[in-house]
Order: sequence, then structure tokens, then C-alpha cells
Amino acid sequence: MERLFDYYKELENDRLSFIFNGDVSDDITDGIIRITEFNVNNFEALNKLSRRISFIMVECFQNVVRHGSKNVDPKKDKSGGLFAARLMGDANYVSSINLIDIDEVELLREKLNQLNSIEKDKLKALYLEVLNNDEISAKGGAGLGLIQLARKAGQPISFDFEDLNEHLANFYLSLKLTGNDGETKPGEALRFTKNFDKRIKESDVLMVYKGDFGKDSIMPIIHIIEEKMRAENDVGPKGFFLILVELLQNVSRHNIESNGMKDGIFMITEDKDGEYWTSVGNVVNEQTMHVLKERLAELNEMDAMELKKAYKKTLREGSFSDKGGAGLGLIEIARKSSDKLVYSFDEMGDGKFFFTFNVKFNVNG
Amino acid sequence: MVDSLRIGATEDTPEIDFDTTTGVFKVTGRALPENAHEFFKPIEEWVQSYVESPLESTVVEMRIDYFNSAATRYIFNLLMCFEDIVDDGGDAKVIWYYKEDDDMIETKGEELASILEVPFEMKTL
Repeated sequence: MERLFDYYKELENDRLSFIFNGDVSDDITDGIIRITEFNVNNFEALNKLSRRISFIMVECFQNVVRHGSKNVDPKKDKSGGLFAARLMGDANYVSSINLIDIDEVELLREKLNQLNSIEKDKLKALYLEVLNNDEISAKGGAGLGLIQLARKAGQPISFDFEDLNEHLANFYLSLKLTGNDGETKPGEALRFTKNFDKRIKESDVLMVYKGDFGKDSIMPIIHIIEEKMRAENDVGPKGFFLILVELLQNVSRHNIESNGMKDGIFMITEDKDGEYWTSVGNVVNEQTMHVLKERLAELNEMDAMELKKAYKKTLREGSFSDKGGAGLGLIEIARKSSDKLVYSFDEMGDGKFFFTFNVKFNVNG
Repeated sequence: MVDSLRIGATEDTPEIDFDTTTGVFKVTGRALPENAHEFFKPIEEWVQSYVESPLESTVVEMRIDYFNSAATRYIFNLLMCFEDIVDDGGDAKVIWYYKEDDDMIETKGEELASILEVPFEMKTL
């Protein structure tokens, strides 16, 4: 399994990173908009771009939803959809990958090449022309999405197709937005997307979120995961869901807040045995590290009965923390986890430590 | 008699409907607030003043589908306030509703029942 700290170091300067690997549906569009809005609106370097970024994220995302092939067998064709956004301020990438039917490839390629060759001011005319045309595709799009994407991006759209088998092809779409409207190198966004996609899929990462962990950011993430679980109709998702809530809120409570942001990272991976791992990580100071270390070691020593006893005792007698928690979160996580708690602290210098907390959850009981 | 207390549900806090004309107090929905104190403290204060001169009978109906650990602690505290009514010889009980296949909410109810000293009924929805 990939180490969360390695991802964190790579994404450390991102204001927001959001990677969603797997089939996506329209239900989570709303969640994506909300996550983006909060992170973007509270970051000065992105203020000017904020509306464009939100727009492009939604279009890209819905592109995955709309153009995904209906003929995909999720078990066999493992390289399903991917949606990724990394916002850094100066450079911002939004990408999508999805499987399409192979006979759609040429039409799409033609459309995208045409869009990339049209001058910026003529895109609006094309937009209006298509808008007034009755030929709306059965997939709910009218080619309007791509035209809008080209208009808002102000940059050529990077794209590529790769045949997966005789019926399906991977459709890569990627955009780079710069804060200063500078030109980007052709193919740069695409290379970025492909490398990242490879890494994500090799390590069976289902989702990564790096950004703010305050309440306004956490609720949309929870909402997205809930929708995803509902769609897959997994057995026992409620326990998994509650562990997630505890873990995410834990990051928010034990956090060195800076610039009004509670920075952290969160990842869901699936291991070889089909078990889900939820990992959260954030930077803590030395004092918090000692408190957490001691507490987690204690909990790992306890069996189920002892945990239950500790839980009831805390419920009756425990003190309320000033952060609105109740000292129950870690016990609850330990009780619901199907294994011992796995955690680590990596030294980062300046008295700071990166706290990683991994919880295995057996979805099938 | 204190006025009824009504608070609409949000995506991370439940609906509160404490009706002082009927004595039926309902908590419905999900309780996942990051800061449980902010949400529950005023409700607890309201209940504390209610139990000083309660109605002849009080029924607390809990219909929660999700809650986090912080909320559990505050819900426990809230329900504990009703013990005062029973201690003073009054009539109060908690009805804990759960869906038949929802082990988590059922277990949570049993745990609370085992440490609360107020009549506690479990009912399936």
C-alpha cells in the first residue's frame, strides 16, 4: 500500500487536490462544486479564477458521467473513470478519463481538434450556432459542454485516446489553468494526468482528498462517499461511513490551523484481499503527537470488552473537550475497526510531525 | 411552562421538536456535527429548565439514523436530564426507534439504556 505521507509530500503545496478513481455519477456533482467553492473562495491566489475553475471542474466531471460507455464491465475493464483536480494557485489542473465506445473516438477527435483550432472569439459564435441547432445528442449533451470548456479554459484542450480492447477506448481530457493567463506547453497537462492516473490505479487508490478539513469541506466529502456507497449498495456501509466521519472530524480537531485552513489529506484504498483502508493524515505539534501516541497504544492493548467498558465509562464520566468533541472518537474508531489501529508519525522538522492513521474496514462484516 | 422548542434539521444535525402542549419530544434525523457542543448545549439548557416543572407525562422519541461519537455523548447527557423527572416521582420515558436491520442504532440504544436511569423502550420502525 502506498504511504499517505508520500502522497502528502507530493501534494503539500496544493490548496486542493481531489482524485476520484472509479465510476462516477451525477449525484456527486453537487458535492464536488461545494468542495471546490470553499477551498477556492478562501484562497487569494485562486480568487480570480474561482468561477472558471468551478465551471471547468463540473464540465469535466460531467463529461465522465455523460460520455462513459454503457458497455463497460466494471470487473473486467478495470481502467474505468477517473476525475482529478489539483489546484495550486499558479498552475491548476483538471482532468478526466473515461471509457468510451471505440466507434465514438473519431467523432470526438474531430470535434476537439476543431475546437482547438478555432480562435477564441469565434467560439462564442459556434456556441450560439450549436445552441440553436436541434441536434441534441442522446447522451444529454449537445457538444455544448466541450465548446464551453474550450471557451472558459482559454487554452487548447489536451486530449488523447487509447484503445483498451476492440470495443472500448480510454478518453483522456485535461486542462491546465494558470493564474497569469500564460501559455502552457502543449501536452503538458496530458502527461501530468497520465502519470498520475497510472500511479493511482497501480496502488488501488479509490479516492484522495487533500485540502481543508473544516466543517464546510468535510460535509460535502461525506456526502460524496455516501452517494458512492449507496450506488454500490455495499453490505454494512453504515459502519464504514461512521468511521469516515470520526476520522475526518478527528483531523479537524487535532490540527495546526494556518491561514484559516485546517490542512490534511485523506485516502481510501482497496488492498489485494478486497479490504478497504481509510487513511487520514495531518500535521500535528509535538505535544499532540505524545497525547495521540499514548492514547492509541492504550486502545490497541484493549480487547472488545475492554473497549466497550472504556466507551461507557467515557460516556458517563468523560470530560467534554473545548473543541466540541467528547473523547469518544478514538474509542469508537477502535471499536468499529476490524483490526488493530495502524498509525505512524513522521518527523517534518520545526517540531512538527505528520500523523498518519490507517483503519481497515471489512465492508462485508 | 416553557414554550415548545423547534429546530429544523440540517445535513449534520437532527430536527428537534419538543412540544410542551403534548409532552412528546422528538429528535429525528442525523446527528453528525463536528462541534456537538454548539448544537446540543442550548437544547440541554432548555431541557434543564423544562424538567423543573414538567408536564404530567413526557415521552422522548428518538429517531436517529446516524450519529458520531461527539453527538452520542451529548445525546446521553440530554437524556440524563429526564432522569430528574423520574427521581422526583414524575412520568418520563425514552422510546428509541431503529430499523429492524440496523444493528448499529439498535446496539447504540442498548448501550445507552444500560447506563441511563430513565425508562427506556426499544421499538422497531
